[in-house]
Amino acid sequence: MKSILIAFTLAVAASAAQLDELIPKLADEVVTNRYAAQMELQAIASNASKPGNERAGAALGSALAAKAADASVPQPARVWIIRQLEYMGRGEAVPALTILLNGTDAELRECARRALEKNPDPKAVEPLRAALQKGGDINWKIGLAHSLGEKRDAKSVVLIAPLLTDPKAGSAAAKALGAIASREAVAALWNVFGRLDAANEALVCAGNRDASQAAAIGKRLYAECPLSPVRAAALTLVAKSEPKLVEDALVGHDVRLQKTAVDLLSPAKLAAMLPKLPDTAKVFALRVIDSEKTVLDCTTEKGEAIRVAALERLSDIGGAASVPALINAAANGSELEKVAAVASLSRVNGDGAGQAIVRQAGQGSTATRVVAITALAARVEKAALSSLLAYAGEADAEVSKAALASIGKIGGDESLDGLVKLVLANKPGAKDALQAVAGRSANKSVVGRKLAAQAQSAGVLEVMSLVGGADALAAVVKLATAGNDDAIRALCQWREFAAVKPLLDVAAAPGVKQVHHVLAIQAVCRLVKAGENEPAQARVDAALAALQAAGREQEKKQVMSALASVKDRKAADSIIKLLTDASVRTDAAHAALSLADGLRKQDRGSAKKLAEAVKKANISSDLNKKAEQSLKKK
Amino acid sequence: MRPVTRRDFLKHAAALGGVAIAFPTIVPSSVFGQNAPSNRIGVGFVGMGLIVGGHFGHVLGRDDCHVMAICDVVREKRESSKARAEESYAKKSGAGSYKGCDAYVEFEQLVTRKDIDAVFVTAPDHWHAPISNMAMRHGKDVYCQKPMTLTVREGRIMSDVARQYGAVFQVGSQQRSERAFRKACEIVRNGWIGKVHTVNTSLGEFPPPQSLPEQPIPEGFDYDRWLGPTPWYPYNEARVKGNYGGGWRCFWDYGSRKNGDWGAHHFDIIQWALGMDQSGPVQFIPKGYEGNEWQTHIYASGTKVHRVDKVKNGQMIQFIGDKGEVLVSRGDRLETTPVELKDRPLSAGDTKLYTVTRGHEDNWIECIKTRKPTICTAEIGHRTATICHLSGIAERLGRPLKWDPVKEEILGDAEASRWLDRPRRTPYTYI
Repeated sequence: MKSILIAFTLAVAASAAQLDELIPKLADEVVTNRYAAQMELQAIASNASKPGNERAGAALGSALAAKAADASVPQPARVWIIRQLEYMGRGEAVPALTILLNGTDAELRECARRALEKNPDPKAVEPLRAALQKGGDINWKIGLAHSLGEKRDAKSVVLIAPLLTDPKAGSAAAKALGAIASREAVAALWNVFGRLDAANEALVCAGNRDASQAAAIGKRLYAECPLSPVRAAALTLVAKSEPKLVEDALVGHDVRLQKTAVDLLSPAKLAAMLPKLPDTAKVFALRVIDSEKTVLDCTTEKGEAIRVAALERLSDIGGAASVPALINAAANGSELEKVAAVASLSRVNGDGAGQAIVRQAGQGSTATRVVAITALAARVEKAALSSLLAYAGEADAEVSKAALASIGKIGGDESLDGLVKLVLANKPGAKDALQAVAGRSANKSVVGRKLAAQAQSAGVLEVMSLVGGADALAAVVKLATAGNDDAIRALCQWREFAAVKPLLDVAAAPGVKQVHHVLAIQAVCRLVKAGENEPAQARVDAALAALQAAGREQEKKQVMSALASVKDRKAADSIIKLLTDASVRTDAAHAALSLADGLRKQDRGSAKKLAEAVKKANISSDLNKKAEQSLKKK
Repeated sequence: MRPVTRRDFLKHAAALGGVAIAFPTIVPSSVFGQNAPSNRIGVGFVGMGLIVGGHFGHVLGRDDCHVMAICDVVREKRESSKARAEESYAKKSGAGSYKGCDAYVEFEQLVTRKDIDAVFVTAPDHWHAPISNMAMRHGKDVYCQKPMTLTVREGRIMSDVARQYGAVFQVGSQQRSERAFRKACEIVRNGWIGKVHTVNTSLGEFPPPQSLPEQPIPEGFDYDRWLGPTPWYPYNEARVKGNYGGGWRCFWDYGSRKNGDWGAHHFDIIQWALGMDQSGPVQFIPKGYEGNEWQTHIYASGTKVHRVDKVKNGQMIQFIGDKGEVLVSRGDRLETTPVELKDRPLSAGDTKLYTVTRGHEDNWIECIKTRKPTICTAEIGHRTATICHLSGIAERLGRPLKWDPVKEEILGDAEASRWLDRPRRTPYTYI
């Protein structure tokens, strides 16, 4: 025992020595210098407060307490020391904190109050109680009452209760009493009930804290308080003891209370009470009732809001039995019902729901079939794809269109053959569906081959141009070379740079139709402009070849513009060369200045060279002026 | 003339015939006209600083809301906000002028007004709980900026108050209302990347807090009230400044630094993705402890969340599963491995998460009308803020913490448990 005491004394001394070193820094005249010392002390305190470090914690606590109470320690250091006691002080700190609580320095007093509030030692409450008994200004009393409330000190009720009538301290006193929640505290609160707003919430708080009083508090508050939010809170206190009150609230006219009652009652109880509920309560109840039949019955209620709530709820609890009602509402209901039913059809997942929707897609009126077919896509029912393809081929235009839209959303490679056939059959919407499905495919070459096999159709060719791929391109080029107009047009819409070569071939082909020539040049220009990920040289070569093939002035302008879009020295060099070609030099000059602007940030040298070349070419005073301006730009 | 609000209308309607009509979506708005008084929500704002701008403009622009009052401890902000509201309403009504937006220093006066239905709490973090709780206890619905609280205990109380008093509560964790984050969470929740073992997120760093010399308090600034329940310090502009890169956000007294700042957003998304909205992690490990290179928290499932310096590809959050990964950021940035996951539609059996089709504030306003839960309720906000605060507590104490998310207790560390709440400075003791 003696050795433990010696060890503890030594530990306190060691802690005190550490503190002696830190204290001047904690009160450094240069305030910004204090922070490092504050963090150092906090780290020491944190370390000492570790589980298993109780002895070191107590030693440090004692040392901190001694320094906190030492009037010779500068005030800023004491403030920070007390903060550490707030974090880790125990019984050893109580005497020092008591001295500070009764001291003359208001800040230290307040710090001590907070530290005592957090101190777990039972003795920590006594100085707080004594201080409140002693009194002080009203803010001080508020703080003390609050601390005693936090400590749930039943003995303080007699000291706090008189503050209830103070205009400034009343609310804080009520809250403290609510936190204490003893019978005396609750009685004191009832004494000011109706005269002090804060008593309401304090009583609710007391009910929450003391289960044995919850029912009585809740029942009286519910009966006597006119305020709806307070009555709602009161209702939560009586949920178990007074179920009749909760049920009454549900059928009453206060919407907040209806909602609270719904939260407190079981789904089964709500289902049983549903017929006699007011509309708003029905809506709330329908959000939680889990009986499919009960909810289903409400889909034909008179009130639209109730029908909508029922349709929404079926999303979570509906099965096969709910599907016809959902489909009917989605097809024939009001706008709000349609929205709710469509959303629910996409999610409803109880027994047999999926199969029921599949069945409905194949039978009934056009309107309900369209709804069911659309729902299949929203549910990603891939197993229904073969049926959808069959529906897409039906004569009913609405059904066919809906089926194609659904296939477009969820179809995969397995749908391609069927879709191609539908495109060949000129089914409206088939081309869009084919494009969507083919565009999504991870295996473009397979898709290309499939499409290529049917490349005689203009619709398929158009899809091929949008989907792309080497196989598709080869098939289209073959047809284009043979002069197939649809194929040439498809080639001219191609999105991949690989089409440049065949396009140039088309443009340069002897006897080519003028329209094909123009389209091909335009297509090359588009691909040169869009081909930012292609090698610059390839783009330049394509543009120069197009320039070679271009006949009309307008075409040359387009090509020059495309060439100027290639932000690369190779393009610059090519354009400079063209400045000496009398047939294109003006367009080349404009292209040069445009490219100079585009290049300036990444290649200042080339930009300068382009402008100088334009100036040197001396084509017109206007161009010379623009070249000068270009040279001055930074 | 003061505008007639929904609350006035209800009172009047009840007096006339006891008609219980409260929620326009339940009773079709066409019955009263799209924005009849019965549909108009009286709104108050508390805290007119940096974060409020977007909210304020949004509400002023809505025909179904009417800003009745604003509150701030800075006179200049009060006056400019009041003027902005009144100018906006004057312009909207075509009248030359409009008077009717009141301005307060003390939020108590605003949240107890009977003609205010809903309150935005956009003051600094240390004021969130006192203002929100008082508002809810007076029957108001509340939109509270993130992080929801200053302490763990405050969050438990706020969530309980919202539940008991029937408030519609939205936490300003607006990433939940963004498509990419929702999609990322659905991918994770539906197991498309397998079991998630690691989550990486980056929160950035604030400058360290400082001890600051005293400066004169500017005229028109109620500094004592700005400090409110937090410890007293001499005034210095740097302490109170609203600044996304620092200002008051640097100080532990007013928040949980970056854990409470970006953490309130990203930890929130991680909770959502992992299906932990009603629970939380079980361990919090500061950077450099127990072999962890990064600040880490761990869920009971074993999933580890690391606060790293940088997330792959400059993204904000990375979920790594045994079958793939998801990377997500603001600006609708979503990357997945396998790549097709980001566009894979949900089938009927998949978990579909709460989807907000308009904005985060709009979701709150819609829920005020329908009394449905918002996308980020007080309980959700509390659970997220708990992660922010426990991460901060572990960092400040310099030791790992074990957490029981059911009992909401720190296990085996009595002194650390004290940090779950903070004592309040008198007379600002309300919670």
